[in-house]
Amino acid sequence: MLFTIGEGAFGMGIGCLAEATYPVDLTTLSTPYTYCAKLPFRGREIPVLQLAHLFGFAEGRPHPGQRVLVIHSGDIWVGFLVDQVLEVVEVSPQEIVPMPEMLTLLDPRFFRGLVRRDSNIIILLDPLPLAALDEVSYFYSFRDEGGSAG
Amino acid sequence: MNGVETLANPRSKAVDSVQLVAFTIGGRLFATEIAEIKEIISYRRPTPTPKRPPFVEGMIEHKGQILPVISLRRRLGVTKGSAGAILLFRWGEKTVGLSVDAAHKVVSVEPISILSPPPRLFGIKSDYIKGVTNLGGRPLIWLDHLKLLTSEEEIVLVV
Repeated sequence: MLFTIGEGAFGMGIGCLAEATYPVDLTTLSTPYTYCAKLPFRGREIPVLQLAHLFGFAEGRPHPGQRVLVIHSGDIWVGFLVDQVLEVVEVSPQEIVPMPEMLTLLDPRFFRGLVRRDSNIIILLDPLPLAALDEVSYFYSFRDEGGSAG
Repeated sequence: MNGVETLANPRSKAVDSVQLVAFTIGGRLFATEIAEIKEIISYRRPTPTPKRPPFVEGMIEHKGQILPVISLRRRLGVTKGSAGAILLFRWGEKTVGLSVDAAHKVVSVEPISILSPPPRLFGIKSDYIKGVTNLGGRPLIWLDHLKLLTSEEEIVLVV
C-alpha cells in the first residue's frame, strides 16, 4: 500500500494490514509518549504511531485524507497515522533496493528498502520493527498492568 | 555549468599542476580535486528521508542509482540563495551528491601558487582547508570536504 507522510511517498506490505481506518476519536497521549496516540478500534484501544512526528516532517494542519493503517501481529495491534493513502501496487522483491546509509538517524530496520515509481522514490517501511518501538511496548505493558494509557 | 557534465578525463595536461573543480557557496569561491568528482549535474530537489542528519537533504535517482545528497551550503551555515548544482563525488566505494550554489569550471593550479591557509578564513578553520589560491583576483579555497562532512563542529561561513 502506498501513502504519503509529509513530503515523502512511502509504502508498506499489506501482509499484516488489518484495516485502513479514519482517525476519528484519535487521542494524543501525554508524557512519556512522544509519537504515540491512542484510537478505539474494534472494542479495544490501540496505540497509533504518528509517523510524521516520528520522521521529523513538518506538521501543519492535519491532512484531510489522513488514515490510520492498522496492523495486527500476534497479540499486538498498532496503527500508523499517515497523511493520504494513494493506491495498492504490486512490487517484486527484485525492484527493492537497500536505502543508502547516512540518509536517516532512525533505526535502519524500520526501512525495508526503496522502490522507484515513475519519477518518485518510494520508501518501504517494515511495520514490525516500528511496532516494536518502546512507546508501543510501554502502551501495552501499562494496559496489561490494568492502567489506561494517557 | 548547465546541465550534466561528465568529467571523463581527470588527468592534468600539465603533469605537475593540480586540477580543481571550482564552485561557489554564499558568493565565496571553493574548490575540490577533480579526481574526487565523478560528475556534476544540475540541482534537483532531493526526496526527503525520515529524520535525516542535519546536512543531508535527501536522495536522488541518477542513472539508475539512488544517491544521498548532502548540502554543503547547510554545512557551512549558508541560508541565503539556493543550490544550483550537485557534485557527485566518490566517498570510499560509494557515490554521494554534494549540493552547492553553482559549479564553475575546472582550473589547473601550479602547486607553487597554492598557499597555506591562515588559522581561520571566512569563518572556516584551517583544519578544513587544503590550501588557498587566487582565481581572477578572488581567493579560491581548496576544501577538505571529507573532513568537513565528518566533523560535527559548527561552521558559519562569513559571506
